[in-house]
Amino acid sequence: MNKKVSFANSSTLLILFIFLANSIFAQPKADSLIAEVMRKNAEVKSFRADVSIDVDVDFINIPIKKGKIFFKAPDKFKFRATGFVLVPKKGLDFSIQEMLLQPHTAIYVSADDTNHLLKIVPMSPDADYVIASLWIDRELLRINKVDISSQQQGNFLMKFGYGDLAYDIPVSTQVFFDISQIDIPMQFITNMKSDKKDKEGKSKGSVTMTYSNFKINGEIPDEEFEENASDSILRVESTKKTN
Amino acid sequence: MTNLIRIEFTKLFRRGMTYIGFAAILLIVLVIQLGMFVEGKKLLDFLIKSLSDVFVLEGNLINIYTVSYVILNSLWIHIPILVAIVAGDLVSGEAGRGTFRLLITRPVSRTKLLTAKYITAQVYTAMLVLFLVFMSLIVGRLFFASGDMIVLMETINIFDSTDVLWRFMAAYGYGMVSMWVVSGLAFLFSTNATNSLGPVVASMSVLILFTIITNFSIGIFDPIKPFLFTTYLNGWQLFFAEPLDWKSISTAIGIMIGHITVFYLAALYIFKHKDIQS
Repeated sequence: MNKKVSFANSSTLLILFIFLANSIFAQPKADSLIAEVMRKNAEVKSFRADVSIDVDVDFINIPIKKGKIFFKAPDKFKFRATGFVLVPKKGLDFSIQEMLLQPHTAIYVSADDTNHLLKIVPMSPDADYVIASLWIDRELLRINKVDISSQQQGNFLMKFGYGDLAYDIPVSTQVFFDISQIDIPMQFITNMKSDKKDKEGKSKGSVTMTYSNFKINGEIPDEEFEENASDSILRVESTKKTN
Repeated sequence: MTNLIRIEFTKLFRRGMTYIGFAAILLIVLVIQLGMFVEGKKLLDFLIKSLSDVFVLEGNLINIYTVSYVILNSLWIHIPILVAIVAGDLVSGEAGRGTFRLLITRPVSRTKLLTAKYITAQVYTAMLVLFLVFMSLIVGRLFFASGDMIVLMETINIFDSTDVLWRFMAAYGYGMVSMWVVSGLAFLFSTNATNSLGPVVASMSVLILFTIITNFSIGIFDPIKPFLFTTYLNGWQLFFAEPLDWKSISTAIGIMIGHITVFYLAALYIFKHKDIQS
């Protein structure tokens, strides 16, 4: 009897040990994946590229706009274009990096043939998103897809396409989102058709940004990031929290 | 005929009321431009506010093209009134001033006489529209820079600055044809009146009534809407759609030319058979 109890206790301990070991070894995997992604991103100190922005929303007709994008680590970003531009608030690679730099908890969910799937939960009460899903390439350890649920702006799905660059900079970014059909008072200009809304009054939309003509880790003077009245300028304010 | 037209023009521009149209357009356009200069950005921000939830909006949409588009909406009522004032006076004014008999005693056929006056009316109308173009796109440059244009028409349409000017030229050309219809109508009424006020009020009344019918969404009016010229007066907006509906544009222009022709022929018939007693 004592031998049976002893064996049962040992088996239980062994099973418990295996479970704990798996848990302990699985838990850091999410953080280490993100750390590796961030480390590889940090290799890019600066870059400039040509960008074309194609907005596809059913109640907006806008031609493909072309411009130039400038980035200088850690947080200088500049977009220049001539004329009017609609740039998605979410979907620039920098917004993902900023999200990952904020306090968060990363949870490893699963993996398929191509990607690791992580969930990112913000730990800051001021975070502008509720939860995010990250698909990280298993071989190349770069972000292929992000799905963000935010409080104010609904859901965003971002897909990144990479080319043959030596660094993990996407050559294309697709952002999919829900957008409320805007209600423009008829008497101001003319009628607005709103017959493509879903029952919650939202339409689907997407923006595709295609980058080309990269110059990576070259010298970009700080003056390049200053205001120029003749150009459309996008400034991304750094949202890093300092403790 | 050229001499007749020249004489009619000389008579027209010796009258003070001829310049009312140009003065009114000057004031209308300056008021709109000033208003848009001061408050236009706030208005536009209000209209497309919800886009800012998803997008960063960069660039200045309050530019000369957007403002000129707003000004073009004056083709609804303001410009027709100015056109009717002069066109409605060209024939009836002669009766009112008692110069008809003197005019008719000249060795010129009534057809030529009326045609010369009709051409004068239409050229004056064209001059008003061209003045509108000048004020909008030339003088407007003093207030606004060039840029992409936003048009809120069924969808939000944003046109690249390089894709706008030809649309405006086409829209103004279409607007000119539509104002020729109004001018022709006022001229028609003028041939059957002995004072200027009647044709102006009559043509404005018809314009307003037809506009109400055109815009009223009641089924009993639907069969007659295609035959009303007011259905096509705002067709200049078709040039700011993407893609362009050339079929609708050409249909509208054809119908308006038909109206112009009918109004002219009716005026000619009335004038040739008119018993002039003053």
